[in-house]
Amino acid sequence: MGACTATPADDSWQALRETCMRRGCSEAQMESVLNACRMRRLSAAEAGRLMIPVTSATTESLPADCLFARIEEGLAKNVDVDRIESAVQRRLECLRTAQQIFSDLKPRGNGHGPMGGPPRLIGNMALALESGVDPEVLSSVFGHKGPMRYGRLAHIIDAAESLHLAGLDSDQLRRVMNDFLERNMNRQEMCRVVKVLQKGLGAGKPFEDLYVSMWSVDEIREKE
Amino acid sequence: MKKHNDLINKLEAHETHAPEGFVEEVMDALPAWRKCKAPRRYRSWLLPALVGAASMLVVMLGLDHLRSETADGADSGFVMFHFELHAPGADQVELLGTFNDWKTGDIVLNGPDASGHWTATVELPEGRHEYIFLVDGERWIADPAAATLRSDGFGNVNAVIQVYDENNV
Repeated sequence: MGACTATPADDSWQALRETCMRRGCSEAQMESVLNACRMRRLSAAEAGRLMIPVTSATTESLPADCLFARIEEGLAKNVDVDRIESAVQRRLECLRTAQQIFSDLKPRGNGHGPMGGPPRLIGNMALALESGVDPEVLSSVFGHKGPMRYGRLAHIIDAAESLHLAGLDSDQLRRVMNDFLERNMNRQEMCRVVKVLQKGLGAGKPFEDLYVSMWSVDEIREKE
Repeated sequence: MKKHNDLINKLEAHETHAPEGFVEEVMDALPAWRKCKAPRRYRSWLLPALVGAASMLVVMLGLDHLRSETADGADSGFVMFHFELHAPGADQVELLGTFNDWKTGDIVLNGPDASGHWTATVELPEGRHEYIFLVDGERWIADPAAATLRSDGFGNVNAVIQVYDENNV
């Protein structure tokens, strides 16, 4: 008999669902996250706290996929709600910064408006920022003269993150990013450069030595 | 001889005009398939050529659409990726990452083999991914073979990979 009666807790979850849907959340992603919250025995109020940055993102036309992912990651790793909440909030701030950089200096020849840039590019920029890449480095990429494709920019941003995590400072990173653009390198070529630098830095070689010898194609092949 | 030459000249100068409406009558009398203005030898290849050109156009438009999606930063392909962890004493090794929404129990590695290696080959969408191994449901292990590692902000370290089909430059 009691099975058919909605409890106040059920009502709270339903209200949370409706609020998220009203604010533009993807139903599938929302259900997946809310189910994960229930599995972790979170209350609807706690789940609601986690969803606030997500609904902020959707109302600001920012891609919310990486925020859902952040909540799921925290829940899977049994992190407490406060830490997940601040991690999601931090990622939202990175998304906002990425969107701002994109809006201020969006590459020429592309038709996106000031809001709602390409989701994958904005998402990757946000993750690079979260990893500690200097926003100025990303601005310098977007400020580069000449038409650029978003797909290629996304690869450059990914490369910037990898190289930052390998230990390059902002000036070094800016130089390499600029070389990628000036030399009109494709993804595979960029990957080779990243591998050479990662390997060299991992072996304790100074960046300057690697940089000087890097642009010889034969040398890159040799080092691989 | 002169008589013959005069006759020839006369014949050469002779002009006979078709009666009025003659062309229309002849055209009406012709079967429908002969009325086509294009010569028959052209019609034999014209239709297949037009069909071929239209097909090319459709294919090119399709490719352009695909390219514009890529240009927007969305990758479309999938790549089989091999994961491996050396954990000889483990009872179970799981793989969690952005590609499976960090779900536990979703991807369990096979192993261990005789040398203590656990492996899984997973189909991943092209793009950037983060992942971590969960050993025996309690130990989070960053992939020691990964070239890029990143703090997860929760006290552990994720591996970062960019996965692309090598044929897709």
